[in-house]
Amino acid sequence: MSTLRVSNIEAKADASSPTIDEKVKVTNSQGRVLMQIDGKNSGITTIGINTTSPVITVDANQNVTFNSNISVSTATITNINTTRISGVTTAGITTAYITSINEGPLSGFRNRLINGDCRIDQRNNGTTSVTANGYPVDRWIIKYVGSGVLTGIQTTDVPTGQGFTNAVRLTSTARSTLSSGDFYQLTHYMEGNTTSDLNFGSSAAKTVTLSFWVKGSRTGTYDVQLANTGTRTYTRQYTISSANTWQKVVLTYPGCPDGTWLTTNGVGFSIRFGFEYGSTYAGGTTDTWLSRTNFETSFPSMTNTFTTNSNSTWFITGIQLEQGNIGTDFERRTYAQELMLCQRYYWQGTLFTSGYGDTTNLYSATVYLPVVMRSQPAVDNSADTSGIVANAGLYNLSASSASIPNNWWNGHNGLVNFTTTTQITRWTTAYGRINVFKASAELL
Amino acid sequence: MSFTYKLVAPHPPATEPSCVRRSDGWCIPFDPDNSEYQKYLKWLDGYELQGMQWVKTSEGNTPLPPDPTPEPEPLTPQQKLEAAGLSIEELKGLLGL
Repeated sequence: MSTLRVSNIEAKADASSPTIDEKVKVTNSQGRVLMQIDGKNSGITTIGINTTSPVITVDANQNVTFNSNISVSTATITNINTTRISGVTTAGITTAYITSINEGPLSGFRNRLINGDCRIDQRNNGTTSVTANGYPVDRWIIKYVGSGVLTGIQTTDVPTGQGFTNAVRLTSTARSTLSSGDFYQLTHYMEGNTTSDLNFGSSAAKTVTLSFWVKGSRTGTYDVQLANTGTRTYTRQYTISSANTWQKVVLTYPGCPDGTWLTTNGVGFSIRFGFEYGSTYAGGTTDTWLSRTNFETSFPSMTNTFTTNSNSTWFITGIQLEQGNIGTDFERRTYAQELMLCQRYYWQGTLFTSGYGDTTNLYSATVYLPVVMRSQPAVDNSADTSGIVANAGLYNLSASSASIPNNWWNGHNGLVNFTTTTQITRWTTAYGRINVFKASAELL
Repeated sequence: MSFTYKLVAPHPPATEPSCVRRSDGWCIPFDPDNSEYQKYLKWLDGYELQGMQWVKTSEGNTPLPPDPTPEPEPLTPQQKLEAAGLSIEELKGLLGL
């Protein structure tokens, strides 16, 4: 008989002595053990496979112990639902793909982007909208050329329950024609110092993952391009299928093995959320690295109708770029941390200064900014029509007069000249209130 | 958007300008790392940003010269007193006049 079919096998040596240990053993024709189950009156205690020794132990409380190694090949273990995993040591773990710890973000500046949650808006304070070459929030710039208009502003319309307080909203004014050199996009420039360890431009280039929350009134496909300064591009697409509904998008980009990727204080990576491109820039294929000149034919065709309609809306927040092929929870940084990261590129605020009168109508003052800026900044006080300097009298400041002379700048501290409407006595000390001073060291 | 540029008078003891005023009011330092200065250099060379590309449209451009720095007017005795925070009456009192 080669096959035995039964409905029940019971190890019941002596029904009158229920405390006896009982076994079920399966052996082959040579008498070797294929499987042995050792039972106690309280339940199964051990299971031996190819041995009478315990391979798996099950105690009376159904706790299971594996007495040797467990190996999972390329399979995925899912639906592990427990309040705690303990006794795990990391010594043997080479790579762990973990999306969160304690249902929160992992630690340590995983997000290479700055102001991904759109909280910081030094220029507009969430009240003023901007268009071409304007920053609706810090570090995110609207770029377009064409007959249409993109208008951007910080908003409090955010995905429910995700812990965000702000997003960027773009609104369209419909274009007429689309010329070859036209384009419409929201761009983020990343300093090479923040991407240098990703080894782009070499065979050791690392995979990165971009994730973000988005909603829009126009359904269709949209481009998201990762690039350097225009010679290497990789564009992926996401789809808005349900209008006006927040969705999370996760896009993985393999590392770029060639090209020039700055690791200095210049542009390392650039990220473009695209809406439409003229024939100079439209073209190419998704999901592959392209070698291009000035982004030409590097934006694959999209199906959205954002720019051909007026009052199209598009929202984005929770934008994160991290190493690896998993889109983890958005990394939360404190407001103070994020603000300082932004201030490396732009600072705006009221200055209280001390200085002296110098030559005709010149007030030279020492200025301290909060952080070391990326480069010596361009400066402006064009909105400042009420700043004053106090000496023996009060002197009004001229707008558009700030300048930093002769590299009198050490990164976050320098000498700024302001023009006054009347002359301050030369070389005498004075104190100034500069109401709206701006310093910019943006990347592009 | 096209701008014009005007050199800013040098700050003593320098004798050469080290920054340039753009027509929108921003003062651009002569720092090679500053992106606005990089755009200024392109403008000097006759390039214009068209779309995402720099296109040479002229032989080159020249910034406006800086405004001359006038010599400070000599201070009157009264201005000198004001700079010292004194009134004439207080000075008289100090001198017992």
